[in-house]
Amino acid sequence: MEQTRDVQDAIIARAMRGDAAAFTQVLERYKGLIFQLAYQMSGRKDDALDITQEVFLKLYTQIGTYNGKHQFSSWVYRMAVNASIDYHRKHKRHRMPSLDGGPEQGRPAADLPSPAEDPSQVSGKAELAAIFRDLADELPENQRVVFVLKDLEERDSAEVADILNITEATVRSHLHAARKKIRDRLVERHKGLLDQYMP
Amino acid sequence: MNERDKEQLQEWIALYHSDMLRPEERARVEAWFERHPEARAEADSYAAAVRLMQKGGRQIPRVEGEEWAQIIGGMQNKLESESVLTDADLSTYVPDPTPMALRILRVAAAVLLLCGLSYGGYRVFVPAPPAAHKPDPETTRLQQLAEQRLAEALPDPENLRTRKILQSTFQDKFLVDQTRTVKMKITANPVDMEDAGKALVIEGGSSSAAVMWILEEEPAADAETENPPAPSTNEPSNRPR
Repeated sequence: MEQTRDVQDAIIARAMRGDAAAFTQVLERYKGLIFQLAYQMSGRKDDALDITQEVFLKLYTQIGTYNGKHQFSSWVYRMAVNASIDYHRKHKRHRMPSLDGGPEQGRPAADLPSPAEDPSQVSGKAELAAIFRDLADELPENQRVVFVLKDLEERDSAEVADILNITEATVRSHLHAARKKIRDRLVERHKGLLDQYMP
Repeated sequence: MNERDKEQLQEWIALYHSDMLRPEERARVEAWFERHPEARAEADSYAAAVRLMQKGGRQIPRVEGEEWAQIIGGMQNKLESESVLTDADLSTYVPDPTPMALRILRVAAAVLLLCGLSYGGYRVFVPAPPAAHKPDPETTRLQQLAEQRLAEALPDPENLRTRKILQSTFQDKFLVDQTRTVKMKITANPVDMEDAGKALVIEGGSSSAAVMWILEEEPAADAETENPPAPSTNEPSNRPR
């Protein structure tokens, strides 16, 4: 059941005072969002789990410092974004290069979507997920994070600006750059597929 | 139309299929479409690219209950290893999970692992987080001193933007050879740093986004020699599997 804003605020306040039950509720509420963002930022399930753990730890040790200047969800998102970027910087040198230049790039089989009834659909979904990962990997961090928050998470511009502590004009600028790179790469590599998604 | 206007128009075209344009901007783009039908096709291609990426990027793998339990178990290990650093002295200003809480966490993680609860029925169970902490007057004084040094290291106005996005966090204090040392962790949001286009440089030393900054001052009259805590590590996550 959706909690009201007042109830959420009360739970957060209790968690800040060290209430374990309240902190558990905070984790329950945000764990899915944290993992999803971590996955969209990293493109790999194992990495996303590691990042999620880092964010839980930060949340655990820092929730007492939340000052209410930003929305709590923005504060958590920001923590997740920074953890994702830190993780990527620490580990990107160790990435397995793609053996065949194909879309999988060392991706563990466990990351692939769960089997569905229609095998052709599974193949299509896996291909789209691989295309997403490859193209997102080619974006600079600041463009990727804006693309993820705005176009995948569909946060409004003001919230994205708040999460990243940048102006809305910068959000637009990064999003434009990200979309342009992605669109251009798709035209180069997957023109036929792109045409299928034209309005 | 000058270059700046062209760039602006390109941005509006890329953002046309979204809620990001103001009415006057949308009107100008649509007027442009009237005269340049190929520009509308370009806007459509951006929309297609976004749809395709949404379809690929929203396939989020399922996290099983056992995997959540492993995350919590990893948290427990890290909290336990970090608690070694927080001896009695440091605990006056470094919030520290209690050993009892850690035992509860360990048991909870073990139970969850053994039971292999499904995602739907799984609930995270963790000890109480550290409560909001009010530092003692001595800590506050040292923090202010360190903040002053930070201001000296990054004077306005040329580093105004950089300074604004820095956050200094009081880490710990200890005595080495009768010299009181205050360790500050200076951190910056990596996104902000990139946005500012600047590397963090303090006293000509590090260009990292997170550095340790050592500030020394005269020993306090009643100070006793203590061993410094072991340096914390920034090793990659050792989440158990």
